[in-house]
Amino acid sequence: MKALLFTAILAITMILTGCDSGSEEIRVYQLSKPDGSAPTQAPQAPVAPFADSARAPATSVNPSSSMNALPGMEAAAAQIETPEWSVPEAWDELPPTSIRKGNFKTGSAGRTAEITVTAFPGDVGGLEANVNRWRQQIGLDPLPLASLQQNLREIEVDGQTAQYVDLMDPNNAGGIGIRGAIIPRGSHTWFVKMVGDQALLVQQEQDLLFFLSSVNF
Amino acid sequence: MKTRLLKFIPWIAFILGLLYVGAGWFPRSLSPNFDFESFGKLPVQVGGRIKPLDSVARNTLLILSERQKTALPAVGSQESGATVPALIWMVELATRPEVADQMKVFRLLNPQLRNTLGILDDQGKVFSYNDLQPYFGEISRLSQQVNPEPKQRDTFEKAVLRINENLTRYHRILHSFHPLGTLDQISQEYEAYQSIIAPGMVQLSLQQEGKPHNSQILDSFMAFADRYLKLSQQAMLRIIPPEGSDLADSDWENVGESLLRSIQTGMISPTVLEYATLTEAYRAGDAEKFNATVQNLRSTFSAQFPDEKFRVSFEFLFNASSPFVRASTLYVIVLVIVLISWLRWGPLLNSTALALLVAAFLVHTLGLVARMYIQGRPPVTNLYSSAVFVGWGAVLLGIVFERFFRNGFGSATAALIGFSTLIVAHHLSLSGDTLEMMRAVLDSNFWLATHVIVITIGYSAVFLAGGLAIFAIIRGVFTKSLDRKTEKAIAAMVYGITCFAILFSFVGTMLGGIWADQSWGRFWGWDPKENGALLIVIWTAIMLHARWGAIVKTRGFFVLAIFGNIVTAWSWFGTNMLGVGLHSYGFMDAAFFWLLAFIVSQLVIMAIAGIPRERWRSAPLLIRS
Amino acid sequence: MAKRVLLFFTSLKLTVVLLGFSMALVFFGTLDQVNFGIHETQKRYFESILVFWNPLPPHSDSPFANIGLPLPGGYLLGPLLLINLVVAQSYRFRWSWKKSGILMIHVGIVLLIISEFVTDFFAVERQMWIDEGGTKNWSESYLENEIAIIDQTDPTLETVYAINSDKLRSGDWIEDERLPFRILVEKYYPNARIRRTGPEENIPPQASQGVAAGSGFIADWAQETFVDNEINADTAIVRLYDGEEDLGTWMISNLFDGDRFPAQQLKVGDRTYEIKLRFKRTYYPFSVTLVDFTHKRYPGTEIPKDFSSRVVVTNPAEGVERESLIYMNHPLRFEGHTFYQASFANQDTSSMLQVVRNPGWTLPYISVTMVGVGLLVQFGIGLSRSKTVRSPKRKGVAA
Repeated sequence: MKALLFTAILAITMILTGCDSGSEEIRVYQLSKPDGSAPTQAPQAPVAPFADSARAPATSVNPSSSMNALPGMEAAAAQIETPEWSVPEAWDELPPTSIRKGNFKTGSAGRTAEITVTAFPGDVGGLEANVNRWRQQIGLDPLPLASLQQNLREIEVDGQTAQYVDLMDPNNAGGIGIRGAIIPRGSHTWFVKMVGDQALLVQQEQDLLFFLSSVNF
Repeated sequence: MKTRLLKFIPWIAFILGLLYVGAGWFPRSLSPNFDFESFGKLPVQVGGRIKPLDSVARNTLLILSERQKTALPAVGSQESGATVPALIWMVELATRPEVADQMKVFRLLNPQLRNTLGILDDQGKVFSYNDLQPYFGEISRLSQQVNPEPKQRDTFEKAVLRINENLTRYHRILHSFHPLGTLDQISQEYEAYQSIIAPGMVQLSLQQEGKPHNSQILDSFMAFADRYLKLSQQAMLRIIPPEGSDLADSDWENVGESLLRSIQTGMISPTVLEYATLTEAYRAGDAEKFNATVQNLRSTFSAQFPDEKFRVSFEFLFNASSPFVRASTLYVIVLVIVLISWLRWGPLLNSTALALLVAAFLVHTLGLVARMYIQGRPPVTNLYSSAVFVGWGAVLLGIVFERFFRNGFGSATAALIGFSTLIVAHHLSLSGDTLEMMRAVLDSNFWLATHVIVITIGYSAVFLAGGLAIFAIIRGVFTKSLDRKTEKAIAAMVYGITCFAILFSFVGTMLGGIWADQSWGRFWGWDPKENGALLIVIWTAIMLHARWGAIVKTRGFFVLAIFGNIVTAWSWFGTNMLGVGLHSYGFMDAAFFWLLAFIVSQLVIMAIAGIPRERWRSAPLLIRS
Repeated sequence: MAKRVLLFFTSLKLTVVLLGFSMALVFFGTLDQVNFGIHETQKRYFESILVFWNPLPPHSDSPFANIGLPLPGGYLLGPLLLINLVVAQSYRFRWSWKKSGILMIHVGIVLLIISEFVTDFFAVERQMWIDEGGTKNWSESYLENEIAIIDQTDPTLETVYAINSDKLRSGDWIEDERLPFRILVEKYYPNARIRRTGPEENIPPQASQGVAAGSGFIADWAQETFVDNEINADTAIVRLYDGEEDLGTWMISNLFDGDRFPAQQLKVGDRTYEIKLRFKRTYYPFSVTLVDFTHKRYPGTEIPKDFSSRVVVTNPAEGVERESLIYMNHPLRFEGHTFYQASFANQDTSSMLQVVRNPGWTLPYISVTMVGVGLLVQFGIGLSRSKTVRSPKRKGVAA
C-alpha cells in the first residue's frame, strides 16, 4: 500500500515537471498563398488582466504621432483644405488621416523616413515652441529662439515666407533626424516634416525641397 | 414608575439619532441675499456624468486642501476671514479670481519640499495661489526632473507632482467660466466679439484667396480667435450643454470650445452669456440679477435634460447631508456607550447603544442607496465605495448578532468596524471624485452587483469575526467581567460568522473567476488581487479545519480570527500597493504606513492573547477551579 | 506501516499544514510578481515543485542573492492536497445526508484543482490583430517564439517549417529529417538590443547575409524583461547548412517585422526560402474578417465605455459563414475557440481579439456550482441545528 502511494506521488510529480504545455518542437504545414492578410501591426503590448488594465497600447513607433491633437484641434484641422503638390517618385503615398493632410513614407535597405503634412489654426504656440517640440521628439533638449537660429533658414513656399528647419544631430549618426518647414499662412500654420534615419534624410534633401517648391495652396 | 420611564430611553436615543442624521438633509441657507444653493446646483459635465457645481467645488477643494471648507481672505487686522464651504470658494473662483487667489487652499506638508522651496514652519500648512506664486518657476523645474516611471518615484517627487497638478487644476478651473481680464466688462467683450465674427470671416476668406483685405478687422478677429483657442485648451469644466440630438451621449463644451464654435454658428451660446451676466452681477453685488440668472441657467438645463434635473439637485442635497460623517460620529458614541455598559447599567445602556446603532445604520444605508441612485450603479464600484460597503455589511451582521445574543459584543464590533471603515473611506476620497465612471472592462452591472458585492460582504464577515475576537481577548485579559458563558457565546458567534465568511469569500472569488473567464478567457490568472482573495478563502478554511480537528481551542480560534483581519487587510489594500510601497525609496507612502500599523496592532493583540490564562484579570470567572 | 501512511494522508493536521504552505506560496509568489511579472511567477511558483523566495531584486550582486526561503511549489502542493482530500474523504467520512454538503464541497474543490491542471497543460492563448476591412486566418502568441523557414518556390503553396525557439541556447544544433536545412544556432539571445555599429566601432559583422549584413546591425545581449507589457526581442544568429554546404549566417529576430524590414531570403538550388524569427503562429481552417470596430467613450472624457468588433467568421470547407458582435464580457465561441475583445489601436481602426482554446473551460463552472451548493447545504444544516438548540435569550447574557 505504501509502495503504491509513493509511486503514485512520484509518477504524478514526474509527469508534471516533464510535461510541456502542448506543442511539439517542430511543425510542418502548408498554406495557400497569399498567406492570410499582411500583418498590419508589430505585436502590441497585451492587455494585462484585471483592475487597471484596458489601456490602449501605444499606437505606432513614429514619434510624430505623439503630437497631442486636442479635441478642438482635430475638428478645426479637418476643416482646412488640402493644397496641391507634386509627390517625388521615391515617396510612397499613404492615405491621409484626420490630422495628416499628407502622409508619405520612403526608404530602402532598412532605412526609413516618414513625411507628413499637417495644418492647425493659429500659430500653435509660436516658432520657438514648434521647433522645440520637434527637437524633443528626437531626444534633443529645447533651446531658446536665439540658439535655434543655427537650425533655421528662411525659404519661400507658394509665395509665403516660411522657415526651413534642419534638426540633424551630429552625435547621433545612426539615429533619427528631422527636416521640414513651418509655413504660417493666413490664420493657420502648416507643417511639413520629414523624420527618419539621418543618412536617408541627407539623401532625400532634394526631394524634400522639390516637394516644398511644388506646394500650391 | 422609574422603570417605566427608563424603558423609553432607548427610543428617545433612537429618535435623537434620527434627528441628528436627518438634520443634514435640511441645510441652512448660506446667505440671505444670494441664492448660492441654486448656483451649487448648476450642471457640469465632468468625468462622463453630469454633476452639480457643488460637487466639483467640494471635490476640488478636497484634492487641493483635504478639506471641504476654507476661509475668506482676512480683512483689515483679522487673522483670517470667515470659514466658508467649498461652494462659496467656487463662487469666488468663478467671479472674483482676485479674491480667490488670496484664499488659502493649497496644502503643502512634505518637509523636504518645503525645505527646497524655502518655506518656513511658521508660514503654516495651507497656502494661497498668491503665496505660492514666487515658487512657480522652481516647482515647474522640479517637476521636469521627476522620474518618468511612476512606481519608482519617492515621496518628494510625488509631493512635487502633486503641488504642480494642484496648481494646474486651480488654474484650469479659474479659466472654466470665461476668459480672464476685466471681468466687470465681460459682456462687452462678448458683444465686441459677436459683432466682429461675420466681418472677420469675410476678411479671412479674402486673405486666403490672396485678395486685398482689411487687415485691421482681420487682426482683431484673429486676436479673439487666438484668445479663445488658448482658452479652450486651458478650461477644464464643461459647462455648456450640447445641442441637437442624442444629448445623453454628447460631449459638453468648455467655454473656449463654445466660443470657437460661435465662429461657425455666428452666435455666442446663451449659457456663456448667462455666466458672464452672473459674474458681473456678483461683482457688482447685485443679488437680484445673480439669482435671476442662475434660475435662467437651471431652467434651460431642465428643459433639455428633464431626467437629470432631479438627480443633480439630489446630489447637491446628498453632499450637504454628509451622511457618512454623521454615521461615523454616531458609531463612536455607540462604542463608548457599549464600553460603559460592560461596567455599569448593562441592560439599559445596551439597548440604548443598539438603538443608536440602528439609527446610524439607517443613515449609512441611506448614503449607500443615494450613491447608487446618483451613479446608476450597484453599490461597490471602486475602493472608496468598497470601504463604505464593508462597514455597512459588518454593521448589519453586528446588529443581527446583537439581537440574538444581547451581550454588547455585536454592537461594539459593529460600531468599531463602521467607524474605522468610514475613516478609511474618507481618506480614500481625497484623491478626487468617488462617483467616477467605470473603465470598459469593469463596466458590467451584473458582475459588479454579484462578484464585487459578495466578496465585499466576505470582507465584512472576516472583520466582524476578528473584531469580536479582539473584544473577547481585551475584555478577558484587562477586565474582570468576562465569564465562561459569555466567552462561549462569543466563540459561537465567531465560529458562525467564519462559516458565513468562507461561503461568501469562496463564492465571491469564484464569481470573479467566472467574470474573468467571460472577459478574457482565463478563469484564474494568479493576479495579485485574485491571490489576495484566495488567501482569505484558504485562511478561513484553515480556521475551520483547525477547529474541527481540535487543533485549536477557544483562545486559539480567537487568535486565528484576529490573524484573519491581517489577511483581509492585505487582500483589500496590500495588493494595491505592490510595486508602489515595496520597491520605492521612502517607504513612507501614507497608506502603506497605516496598513503596517494596522498589522502590527493585530499582532500585538494576538500576542496579548498568548498571556497565560491564569494571568488574565477575568481568570477567576473563566477557569474552573 | 501501510496503516500509518494511510492515517498520515487522511489526517486533518496534514490538511491544515498543506493549506498553510499554500498560503505562504501564494503570498510570496504575489510579492515576487513585482519582479517577475505574472507569467514568469506563474511558472516559477505555481507550475513547479520547489521554489526559493528571495527578497532581493533579481540580478542582484549581493552574496545573499542565491539563497532563499524554500517553498513547495504548486505541482507539489496540488497533488498532495488532492490525495489528502480524496483519501480522507473516502476513508473517514460516513456517507449520510447530514454530511452531503461536505462531500459536495470537497468534490467541487477536487474538480477545481483538476481544472487548473487541465488549463496549465492544455489551454492555448493567442492574439489576433485585424484591421477594419481586413481578414485574418492566424493568430500569434505574445510570449512564445518560433523560427520559421518558409519555402516559397511554389507559386500557389507555401510550406512552413516552424521550430520552437524559446529553449534554444547558443551553440545548439537543430537537425531533423523534415527540415530542409541543418541549423547551427551560433548565438541565441532571449532579449537583445539591435543597433547599427557606429562609424568608429570595429566590430565584425555578426551575420554574413540578410538584413543585418546589409544594414550593419549588431545584436547585444539584453536583460530579459518580465514587465507585463514589454516584449522580449528574441534574437538569434543562425548558420544554415544544406547537407555539408555552409550557406552563411543570418540574424533573425522578432523585431524584424514585415513592415519595416525586408524579408530575408535565400536561394538553394532552385528553391527559394525565407527565414525569420517571429511570435509563434497558429493557423486556422477558418478566417475572421473585421467589418467594423467601435469605441465609445464616456462623453467629455477619454475613459473607454465600450469596445466592440463586428466580425464575420468564414469556414469555406464547411460552408460556414457567421456574423457576430464581440464586445466586453461577450465573447464569440466558434469551433472550440473563444474570441474575446481585448484591445485596439490605430485610432480605432485595428482590433485585437484574444483567442483562447481550453478544453477544460467548463470545469470551473461545474466546480463552483458544486461548492456553492455544498456550502449552502452544509451551513444551512448547521444553522438550523443551532437554532433549535439555542432558544432566543431575552435580557442579555449579562456583562
